[in-house]
Amino acid sequence: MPWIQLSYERRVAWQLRLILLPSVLLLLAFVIYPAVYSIYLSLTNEALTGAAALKPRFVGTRNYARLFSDAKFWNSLLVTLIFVIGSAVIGQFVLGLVSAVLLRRPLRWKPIFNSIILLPNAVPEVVAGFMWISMLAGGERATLSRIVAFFGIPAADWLQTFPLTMIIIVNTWRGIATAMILLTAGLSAISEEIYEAARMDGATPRQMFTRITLPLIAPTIFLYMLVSTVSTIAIFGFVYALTRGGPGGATELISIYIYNQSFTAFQLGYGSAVAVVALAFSLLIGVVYVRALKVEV
Amino acid sequence: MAVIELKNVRKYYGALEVIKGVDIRVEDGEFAVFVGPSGCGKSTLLRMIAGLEGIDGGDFLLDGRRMNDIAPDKRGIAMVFQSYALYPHMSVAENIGFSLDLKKVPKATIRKEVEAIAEILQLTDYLDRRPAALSGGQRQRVAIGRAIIKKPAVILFDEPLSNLDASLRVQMRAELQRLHRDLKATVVYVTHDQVEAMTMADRIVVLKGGEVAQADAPIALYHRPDNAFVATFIGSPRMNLVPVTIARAADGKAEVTAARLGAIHIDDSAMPLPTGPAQLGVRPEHLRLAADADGDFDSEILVVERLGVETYLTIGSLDQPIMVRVEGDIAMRPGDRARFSIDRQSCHFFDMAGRALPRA
Repeated sequence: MPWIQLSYERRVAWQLRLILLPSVLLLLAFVIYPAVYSIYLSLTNEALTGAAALKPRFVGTRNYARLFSDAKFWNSLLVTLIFVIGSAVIGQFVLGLVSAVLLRRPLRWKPIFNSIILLPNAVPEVVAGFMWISMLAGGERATLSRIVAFFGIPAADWLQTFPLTMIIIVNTWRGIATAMILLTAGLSAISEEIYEAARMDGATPRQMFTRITLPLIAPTIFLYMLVSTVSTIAIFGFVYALTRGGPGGATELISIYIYNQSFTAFQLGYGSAVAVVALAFSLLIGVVYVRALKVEV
Repeated sequence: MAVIELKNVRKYYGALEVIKGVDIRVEDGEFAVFVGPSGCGKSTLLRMIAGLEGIDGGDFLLDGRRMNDIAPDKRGIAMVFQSYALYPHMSVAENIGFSLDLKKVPKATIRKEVEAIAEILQLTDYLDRRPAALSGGQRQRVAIGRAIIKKPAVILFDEPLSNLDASLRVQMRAELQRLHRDLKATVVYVTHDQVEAMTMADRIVVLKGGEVAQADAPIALYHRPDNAFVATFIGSPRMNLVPVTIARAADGKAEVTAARLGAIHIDDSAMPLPTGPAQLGVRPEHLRLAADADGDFDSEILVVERLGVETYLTIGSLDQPIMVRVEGDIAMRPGDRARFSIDRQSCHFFDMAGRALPRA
């Protein structure tokens, strides 16, 4: 049928499909295909060295069965859980909310505060990694050791002594801006008159926060939680740059465990199985957020 | 008891003085309306009474007690906001009862009081709904309910009807007046709509540029405006102001001459008008169509607005239009000519600075 004869609605529908096409192609090539291929790989004994590299075999669910008795896998899940809760759910969220609430007031140096909070997002991940390595290095000349020396605290090799705490702090540092921007958007939707009405009703600042602000930005908070949880599960770059997952698996996030299994131990099949489980967890969390908390995505 | 006194009250935004030494007294149980054009400071003044804006100079007394530094919720004042400012995540009942809930009043007592107020405001069927599921008029009533549950001595209204359509506005005007009669609270009501002010107020305070232009009973403002600003602000359509020259025609008679209206004689035996340039103020309803032989002047008709019950004629010239309000439906056309007469008893005179020249 010639293009011109299509009804208006159908033309619009076709135009929409055309506009979506590049995104769909990219998703197919770089998300759907690798995900499906990973599921396929997870059912084989594909490896980068040895006999399996030459002739990979279909092994069914053997990789998954092995995973359940793999203490290092469970450790990586636990580390990831602590990392997500510590940095995304608590650190970034709490500090982001505090920044958003404080920066809503008319402050003299507001643009400067805003820029400072946004800076970590402007630094490339690997640069941030190297910067923190120098900050957290062992010895008395490292930046953090020199700072804490002011308070009489002895120097330490921070990444060795408190590895998980340190990567939680670094990730919190990186993510405050995103949390702040999202929560600021949520806060700015609340009209000033509602707070004035609450003041007339006798609400204290604390009551205004708990009875007005929090319930009204709850949808934004849940959306933020969803986005940050899923993206934090996938964090790899700077943690790998800082610790390589060590010491002794203390910071071996599931993403690092997948990498280590696939490209250090060369067991692509097993690494893929871990990746599929991680994907399943992310999906599960997403579905729970969307369904249970009615997050609009 | 709730007598509001504002004494030389001032407000600055930076170096800009927005309230310039205002003195207002509102008696107990009075319905006072602050009216004025945008930017005259009426809402700022209301918010200063509420405690939402600080007072930079002067005193606000409530029953003789200085309130300048008392927190909004401790003043015994409630406020209805222009946007209603309902809590969108709470039900109607929760909205109305919020102030009591904050004070930890037992839930059962809150429920009882909320139901009593819902009854008065015809909201009983909507108590479990969220504000988003209500019409504009219903939201307005919830906002009023939230104000009156506190049993305030003073209720402040900030342009409460401006978001409603015309017919609902008329209905809500009547409801607010009834509520005021029942509650006997002192009311301060802000509006830019002089019809609202005229129909509801016991007393109107006309504000201009952060100052009180005049404060009086509505009909007194209509009949005896202190200045050209009040004269043109109160009354709809607005009073015509025409530059004139006053000369003495005889003892007790002034000759008033205007470029397009010719000369008329005004009896000023009670209080002689000063001679020289002045402004003649005449309301559209005080100009009449005259029979051909009679009348004071003739003019071309520029615009005809036929409303059925009355007809507005714009005469004179487009740069100095004069509005005439004629009762009944007058089938005239633009371009027609007619003769008009001026009701001399209802003429107002202002000096060139806009101050009213006393007539008696």
